[in-house]
Amino acid sequence: MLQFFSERFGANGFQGEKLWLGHLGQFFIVLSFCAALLSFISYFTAEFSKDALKEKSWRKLARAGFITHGASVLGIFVLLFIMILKHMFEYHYAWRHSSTELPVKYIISSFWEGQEGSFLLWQFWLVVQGFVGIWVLKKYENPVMGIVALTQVFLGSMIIGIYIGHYHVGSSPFTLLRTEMANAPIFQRPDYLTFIKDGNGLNPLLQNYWMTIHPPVLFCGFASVTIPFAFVITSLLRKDWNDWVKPAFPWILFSVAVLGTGILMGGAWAYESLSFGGFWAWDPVENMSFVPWLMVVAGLHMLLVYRYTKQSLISTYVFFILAFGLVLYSTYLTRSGRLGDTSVHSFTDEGLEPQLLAYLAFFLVTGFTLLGIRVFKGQIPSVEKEEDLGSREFWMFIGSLVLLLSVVQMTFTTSIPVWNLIFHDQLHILKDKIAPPENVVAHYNAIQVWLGMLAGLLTGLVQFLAYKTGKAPKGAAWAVYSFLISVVIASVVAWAMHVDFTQQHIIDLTSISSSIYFKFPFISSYFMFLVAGFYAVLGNLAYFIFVVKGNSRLLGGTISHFGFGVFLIGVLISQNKREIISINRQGVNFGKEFKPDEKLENILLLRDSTLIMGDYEVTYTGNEEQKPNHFYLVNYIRRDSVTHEILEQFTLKPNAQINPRMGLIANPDTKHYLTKDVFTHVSSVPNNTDLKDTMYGGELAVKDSLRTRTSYLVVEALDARPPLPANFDANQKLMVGIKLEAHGFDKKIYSAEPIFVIDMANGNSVSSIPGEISDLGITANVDKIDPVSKMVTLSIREVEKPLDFIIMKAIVFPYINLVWLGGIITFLGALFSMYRRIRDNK
Amino acid sequence: MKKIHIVVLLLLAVAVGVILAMTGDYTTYANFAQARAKINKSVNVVGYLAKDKPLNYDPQKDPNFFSFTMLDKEGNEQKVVYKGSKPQDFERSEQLVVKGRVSGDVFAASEISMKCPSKYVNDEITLKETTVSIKSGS
Repeated sequence: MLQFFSERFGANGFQGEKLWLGHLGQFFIVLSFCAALLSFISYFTAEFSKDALKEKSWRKLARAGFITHGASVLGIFVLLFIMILKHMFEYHYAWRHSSTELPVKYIISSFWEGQEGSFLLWQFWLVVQGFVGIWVLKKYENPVMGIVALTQVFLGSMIIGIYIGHYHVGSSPFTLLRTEMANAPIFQRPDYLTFIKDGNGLNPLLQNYWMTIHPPVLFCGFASVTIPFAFVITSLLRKDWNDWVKPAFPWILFSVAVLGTGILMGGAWAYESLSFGGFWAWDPVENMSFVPWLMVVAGLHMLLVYRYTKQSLISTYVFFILAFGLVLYSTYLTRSGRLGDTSVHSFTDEGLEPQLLAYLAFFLVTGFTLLGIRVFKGQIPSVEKEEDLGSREFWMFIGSLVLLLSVVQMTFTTSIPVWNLIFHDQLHILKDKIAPPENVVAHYNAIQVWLGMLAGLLTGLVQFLAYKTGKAPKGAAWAVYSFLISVVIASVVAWAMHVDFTQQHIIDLTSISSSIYFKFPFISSYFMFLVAGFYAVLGNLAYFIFVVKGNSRLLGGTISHFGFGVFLIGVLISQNKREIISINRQGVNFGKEFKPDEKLENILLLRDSTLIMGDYEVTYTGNEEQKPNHFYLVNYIRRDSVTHEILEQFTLKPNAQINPRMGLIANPDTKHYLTKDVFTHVSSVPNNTDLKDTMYGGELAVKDSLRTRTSYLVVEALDARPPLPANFDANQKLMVGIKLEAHGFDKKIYSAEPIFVIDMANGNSVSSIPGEISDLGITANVDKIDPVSKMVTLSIREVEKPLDFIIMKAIVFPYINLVWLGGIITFLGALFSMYRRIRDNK
Repeated sequence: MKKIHIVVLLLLAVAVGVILAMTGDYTTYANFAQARAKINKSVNVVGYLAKDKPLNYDPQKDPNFFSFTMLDKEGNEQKVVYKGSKPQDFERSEQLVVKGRVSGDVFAASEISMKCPSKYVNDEITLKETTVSIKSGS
């Protein structure tokens, strides 16, 4: 068959193209789309058929469809990988996202740099989860898998790449370069492929090991949110109010763990390579992957409430529909190109906007319509009895609302491009287009710090409350003790670390005294945030020890909540005590438009010069080029303050890649300690590509001068006995030295003495021994001396010296490891709960 | 009415209030003429680098001072000062977005984003370069 393809398409007259791969790939794309559609239809026919026999045969067909779909997705996956790995640049995808010099680990990243590859990754994970679903879902297989298959149909339509009329549906990864850029004259040649030696390469920002693992985990998480949603739809369709809860739990917990890990890895990537100055920058893309996770967490807690009290079923549905809707909404925002102006890492527009909107609208409308019908008809069971104000479910509900508020603010501000689209471009209500706040971080922190604090406090407290009755269980006094201990610890930590509480107050008392915040730290949300972090840690610890007394059945939740507390502490300390140690204090004063401490973060470090930064003596010692990267060696020394002995010494190698497409791409280097990180980032390097090389010349008398770029050059005197270079054979030669003095613009005086030589043994031929001033890059030669007028003709070459310095930034992040550790503990807790629920369900 | 409903309504009101209050933080897009009128109010200006005017960046004197002249889309000219290092390849930028405020004679930018020649155009450039280099070699 391959022979058939290459013969057939070789006839087009283009040499060397391996068209079989694209045709096979396109075949798999269409097959996977149709198989998913078949699977969806069959699953739902099975679901609605009354006859058990028919149900069974439809289900068989649906399974066959889904397995075919899965196999095709795998086929596309493998083919796309071969295409990139074998550098088949006749294909646009391989050409655009990879190049021959990329190492294999980054070739994997090329796979998901583009829209098509990342949709495929998403499909792949949903296939894997679907296979598990077929195996374990039992009586929930038909509807849940039906929805999974329908999601795959929508995802498949994004990469199908066909035309319906003039409308382009999806964008296929198997299109050819010559069809994508049909206008380029090169494609007139049958041998065009021999000219395309290399691909466009991978965005250097993505050339990082985190980019090899972060997207797969994140997309596995995105895919996983489908299943809780599918369970919700199932429950609403079947009016199954109770039985769906147990089998849904493990899937929800899986989603919490994997999506959370994916987001945290994104934070690690941002921290290590993006030079965002932290693990979280409130970038729209980061926000939009975070909000679905918050909704899944809220949904999980509401489902727990429902399970134990039969309350809050509607809220549970709302949260899971929102979670899935937000996954789709974030997909819309990031892939329609709408975020292009406001985010550093949104995809470029591939013309998928209408499809993405349809995808979003379909599931949101279906979900909420179905829910609306059931609510309207009063079919959803509810408990008439009112929640006790001291009950666990009441406060869990409040906690979930806190998460919802957090989602609302993040989504609202992130949607600015959408508001512009609706209210400015379409409805003309807004006169000027709106843009994100000047200080995005402060904008979010003003709300999110309070919400984080509330979430932390509730995490510590709520476990001590009982469901329904609100009666305090034995040992509940520990809720109070651990809170008091938390306040004490937080105060000590804050005092010892000089945590800054001068921001974010309930009431602004700055006018009274600036030190008032240290006396009354409670009015700062930062302090309360720290207390909340410690309370989440200690409260859960106390609960586990004194209330449940080590019962491992409840371990998962406790671990997660404990981890969440550690995470909060890490967030507050690493951000609040983040210190830029490369502060430039020599800057010019620009006037009052700039705050004094703002933006002075860059410092210039000349080669081999040393500056003091924080506890360190920092020296820039040289650079190494390993194409396409350029590493700058920055040496750090820390000395004992009294004895001046060297306590430690290390060299960081931040990378600055000058990318032809994107300018300077800085990849920082970090020294990791257990309790802090020292982070070095090159912001700018000198441009040595066009150094000036100037010639000067002229006839000069003694005491005449000549202006060069760096100095005034004065002819001081003629010297009959010039200093000769060693091994110079002076026999039968006449030498005249020209004493030159250069009055440098750097206020220094340099001297040189070029020598005019007449070789009498050689027919009075003349030559010159050059005089050099290496500090100025000047070389002087004598062309002629007029014996009568004593005029000297000089030719001077002045070469600009290459500059060697870096402009760098150094930042210390204390206790950043608590952030990672807290996150990991949280997700491990979720995985543990998942394991336990699976075991219980058996 | 259950207490929980009251709580939900209260929180809803809080949410709406917060959102309304937060929109006060939002900035707008403007041209330089408007920016000069709204003195000390933060705006975003879209425009281009005036390539015939000098860029002022001398890192050896101060690595945190960069100034240039920018034209907005209506062609208003404005000197912009940015307190940070000059983005590499700034000269090649095709479009600029500066965020900041007018202060005195200058526009004090707190953030500069630049669009380099778009990917596709650049794709074509690379392609052409490949062809050229091969022809000259043969």
